[in-house]
Amino acid sequence: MEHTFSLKVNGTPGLLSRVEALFRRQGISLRRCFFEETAEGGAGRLLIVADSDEALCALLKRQLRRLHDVYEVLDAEHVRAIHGSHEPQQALNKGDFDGYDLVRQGR
Amino acid sequence: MSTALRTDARPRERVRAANLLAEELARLGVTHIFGHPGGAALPLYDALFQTPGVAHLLMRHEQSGAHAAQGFARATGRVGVCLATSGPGATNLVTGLTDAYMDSTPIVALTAQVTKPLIGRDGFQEADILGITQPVTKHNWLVLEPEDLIPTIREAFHLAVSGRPGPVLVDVPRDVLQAQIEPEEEAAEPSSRKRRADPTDLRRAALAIANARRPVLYVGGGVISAGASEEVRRLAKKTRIPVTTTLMAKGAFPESDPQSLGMLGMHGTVYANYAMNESDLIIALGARFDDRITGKLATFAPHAKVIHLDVDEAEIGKNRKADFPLVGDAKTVLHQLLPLVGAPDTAAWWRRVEEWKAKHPLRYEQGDGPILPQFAIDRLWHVTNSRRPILTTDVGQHQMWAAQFWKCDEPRSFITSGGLGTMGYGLPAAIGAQCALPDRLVVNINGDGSFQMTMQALVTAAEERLPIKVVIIDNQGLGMVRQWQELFYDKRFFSTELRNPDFAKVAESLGAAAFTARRPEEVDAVFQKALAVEDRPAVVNVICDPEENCYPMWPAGQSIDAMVIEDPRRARGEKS
Repeated sequence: MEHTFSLKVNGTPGLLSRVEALFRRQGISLRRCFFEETAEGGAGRLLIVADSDEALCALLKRQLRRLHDVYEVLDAEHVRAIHGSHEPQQALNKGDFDGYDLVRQGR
Repeated sequence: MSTALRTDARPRERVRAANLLAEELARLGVTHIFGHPGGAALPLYDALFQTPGVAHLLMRHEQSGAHAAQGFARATGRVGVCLATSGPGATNLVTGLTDAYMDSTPIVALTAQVTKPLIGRDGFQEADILGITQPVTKHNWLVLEPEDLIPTIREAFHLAVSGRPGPVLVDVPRDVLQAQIEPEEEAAEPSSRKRRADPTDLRRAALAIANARRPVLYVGGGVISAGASEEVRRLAKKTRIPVTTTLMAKGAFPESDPQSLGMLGMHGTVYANYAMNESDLIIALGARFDDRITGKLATFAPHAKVIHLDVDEAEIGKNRKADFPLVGDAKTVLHQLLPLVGAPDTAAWWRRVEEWKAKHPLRYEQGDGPILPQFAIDRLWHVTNSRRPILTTDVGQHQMWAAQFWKCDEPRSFITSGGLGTMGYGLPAAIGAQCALPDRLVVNINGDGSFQMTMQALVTAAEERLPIKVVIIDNQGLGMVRQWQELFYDKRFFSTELRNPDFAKVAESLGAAAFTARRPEEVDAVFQKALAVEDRPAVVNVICDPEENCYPMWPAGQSIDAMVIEDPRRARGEKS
């Protein structure tokens, strides 16, 4: 089942590979991935859509949370609520980020 | 400090970054570095030469440097430090970093990198050590700006010990080490507030304990990391619940205490495993339901609810569902929990546990034949126990026999490679432990196979006049692998017999005193001789029965019914 992982991160070099490595270890390839810096100095938001079952999704979120450059991992409800709120806003609205649309439609 | 103030101040003298790094290490309390130099690391070595108070031990292989740093950390709880040059020096650290990651050991690895213009251009002795070590470190850094060096080092030392401890790596290009920079302001120690558990979760857990009838305290290495042994002892005494400790937690609860069931798991005691299996409440403290503990997860402890305390949220529910999760620092959370708990009615439970204990004790029978490994380890314990030794082990059969027969009453006195099972760990770990605690007796129980993985570390021990005792349980082969071939591959023994060098000669040429025991009656005297050596390492080679196998054994991935309690050959009377 598709899951959306929404992360507040420090966008340092290597961040993506640290995050992706956790998915790789489970043999999961990413469906969609979107990153944008939201503040000066690298802080930003990372959205990932990937296939995983519920249990694995929960484990991945916990493992993501312990990465040094991941500040916060938001749950799916929060991700859906992002649309219509002001934060992290337009960063996700612009572009053709299908993953975000998927989230917006509540699927 | 604001910019305005800084311009008013006397312009500070610029100093080579490597020297500031060496001074910062001293300021952070580093007393020993286990390293090996090389081209890219030269500025730092030059700086260490000029920095008093930080000793450098010249290891003969970087893997041993990492393990020595681990031994230092495990003996003390302080950060261990290893140092390597770029490329092959750095890649040789990988095994030690992985081991430290699996066993939550706080070490800082410093690696030198080629100069910035060469990075990513396959420069001589360049390796992408950040990429290589990313999955086996809590975090790692490549320092590209000289001004970032000292803040990064401070952050690295803090991160290594905070939360769930573990390894970190800082990679520094040679030109960054060489750069002239202004000294960094001294910074306040970063705050490290210990995480507390949620009060509602605590009350639910306390209620579960009160209602339990067959509870077990399942204690893991997290208790030792958190320094929570005393709290565990108080919890056990207050609740009268039996306690089993993992390999990583040996010493976290005194094994001489009647409430101790010893180690559980694949080669653990029968009664610890039976108690877990029959339990209605497992209270897991800083343990992670490793496959060596649970066997087949689906059939493990089928009637038990689980209270799971861990500082790392990612451990909760990873392998076994936690009915009552407690996320936080073990010492802090146990302080919260203690006033809430009472003693459940465990009288009937204890009667069963005592029956199991009486029926299936750990045992061996040393006859007139070759030395049994269990006997050698048991005698070593008796000969040394009054001196409160710190034991390091390597990996294999001798490690499991040590876990069974080496009774530990103190935390941080049993240092071993648990999660990764790294052959070659024990000897360098003993070096690290002896450096950290020069007044303690440090003993390493090794195997003939594993000794050969890192035996060149003895040179360093001799050079530093470290009086460690290395006891080789020499069964002329890779005993544990051989045991699996015997049991699961129809005795097709292949690549597990070792034609060993003469270990006494090897040890002597590496600068150690050397002794050999061939007969059971020689063992005590030979150990005594080794204990009398004070100015250099001593190696005792104990020639053991190559056919002795390690039991009980609960084969990997199976249900507890598959546990083999006793050597079938002995049960059939084929073996003394």
